Amino acid sequence: MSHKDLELFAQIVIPELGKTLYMVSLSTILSTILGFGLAILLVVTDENGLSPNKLFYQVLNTIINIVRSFPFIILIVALIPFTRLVVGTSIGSSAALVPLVICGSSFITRIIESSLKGVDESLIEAAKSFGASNSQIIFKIMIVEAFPSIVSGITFAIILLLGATAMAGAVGAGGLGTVALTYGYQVFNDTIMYGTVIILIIIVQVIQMTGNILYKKLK
Amino acid sequence: MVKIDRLSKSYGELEVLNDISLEIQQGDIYGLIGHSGAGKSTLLRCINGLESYSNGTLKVENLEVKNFQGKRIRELRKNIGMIFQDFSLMERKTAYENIALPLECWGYESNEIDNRVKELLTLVGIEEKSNVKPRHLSGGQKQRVAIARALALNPKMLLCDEATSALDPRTMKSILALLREINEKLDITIVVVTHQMPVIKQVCNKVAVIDEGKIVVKGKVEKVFLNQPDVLRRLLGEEDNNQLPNAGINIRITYSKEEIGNGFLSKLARELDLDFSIVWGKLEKYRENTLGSIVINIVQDNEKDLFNYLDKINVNWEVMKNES
Repeated sequence: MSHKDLELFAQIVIPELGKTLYMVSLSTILSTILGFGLAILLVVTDENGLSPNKLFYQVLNTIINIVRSFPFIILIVALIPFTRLVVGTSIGSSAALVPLVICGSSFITRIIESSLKGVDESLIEAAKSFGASNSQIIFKIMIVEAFPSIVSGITFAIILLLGATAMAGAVGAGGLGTVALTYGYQVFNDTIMYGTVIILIIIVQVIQMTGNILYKKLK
Repeated sequence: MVKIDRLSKSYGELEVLNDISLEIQQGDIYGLIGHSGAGKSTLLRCINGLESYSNGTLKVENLEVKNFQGKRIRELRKNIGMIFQDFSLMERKTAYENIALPLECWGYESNEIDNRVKELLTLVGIEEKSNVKPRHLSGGQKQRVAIARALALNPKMLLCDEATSALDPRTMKSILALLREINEKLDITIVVVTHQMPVIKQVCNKVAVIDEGKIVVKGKVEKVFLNQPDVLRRLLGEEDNNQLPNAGINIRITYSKEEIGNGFLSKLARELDLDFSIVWGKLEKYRENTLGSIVINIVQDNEKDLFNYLDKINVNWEVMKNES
């Protein structure tokens, strides 16, 4: 690695790494908040749920399925008018948050939904039998019991979002994805490209390890 | 305490409960026994409103359960504890926290909760397991935690849904002994759903045998046993007709040891000068009472005297049909 390359690396990769971390962390937080709410709605209105509502469940379920069937790169493009409306622009890290959160929350909704549905039904029956209210059943029992599996699902989602931010780089989001594409695909600077890849690998490892440790601790 | 009158329930075409009437009194340990799928668990869940019923009435302390909704059904359930076959504990919480859960849900003060939980841990005999999570507890200990949780809110009644079915025979006995103790010490009425005859024998004072959604026979346990309807015999696993001799006649005699005394068979032989052979027999303990069931075989021509004698000493008897 030449001195020039190193300088370039420090000048370009480090700030872009910051953008990537910004996009991933903010989109994870927003997606998790949204995902929790939607998952609870799905679980509660499910036909075997605490307060079944077939129409509501089916509408919400269908919307999530539609979002989930978009390849992410297409979703970004398709959402451009909406992104402009919300953020004012369709270029840059903040603009990328819109498709990231929409994609991420639909994914996290499914993850939390399946974790909550994994809670033993007879435990819910037991809670009803001592007179717990529906909200107590959701917050004091279902979420608490499902928490380790929710955490491990969110770990999975963070890695997915990291991949998605790289893809968003192709359409002007900035971040490590943009760096790798520009220097690897357009300038053919291998040092920068592989350096970026190595940084991405390290980030994924750290996320996964943290997730695994948390899961073990919580269980 | 609980009065069920002509209760029916069906899922579409399928009738799960059909014309059920029974009365559970304060202090009873009432057993509901039947094969799996007979509808007994559904009936149990009607009592605390976990299941609804289509026809008939079910009153708990003179209040119709069907009319309860929302907050009121929760208030009702507060007075009725329930335990399950698979214990239904929160895996991520300790024994202590599991027992505290109902109290937390009902907004008790934390020092009140602490006192009550400690009291309950002592009652069910697992003080030293207070901070242990269910996955490190044995089946019997888990059920003890579940019992403590069910009693946390001082219920008047405890519903047990196959509570001992997942336990080995020894643990089952100790859990049953605990239930009996709770019934006597705390005057809590208990309803037990089971397919295991030993459960009925060890703890229940009354029983209803349920088959295909109907009550086939109900009443005091000894009485039901002495009358031995076919369903009960099937449950006892005593469909043994094919082992009986084909010659002569087989007579089944059921008796309570307390009422009849020990030597009634030798007395019978002496007084009637009768030869017979005992072809089957069993003595069983029902709570404190011992009940016997034997089958004797005699030659056909001196049956009249025997029948008269049996009627005179007032035992339950029936001539068994030869199946061959």
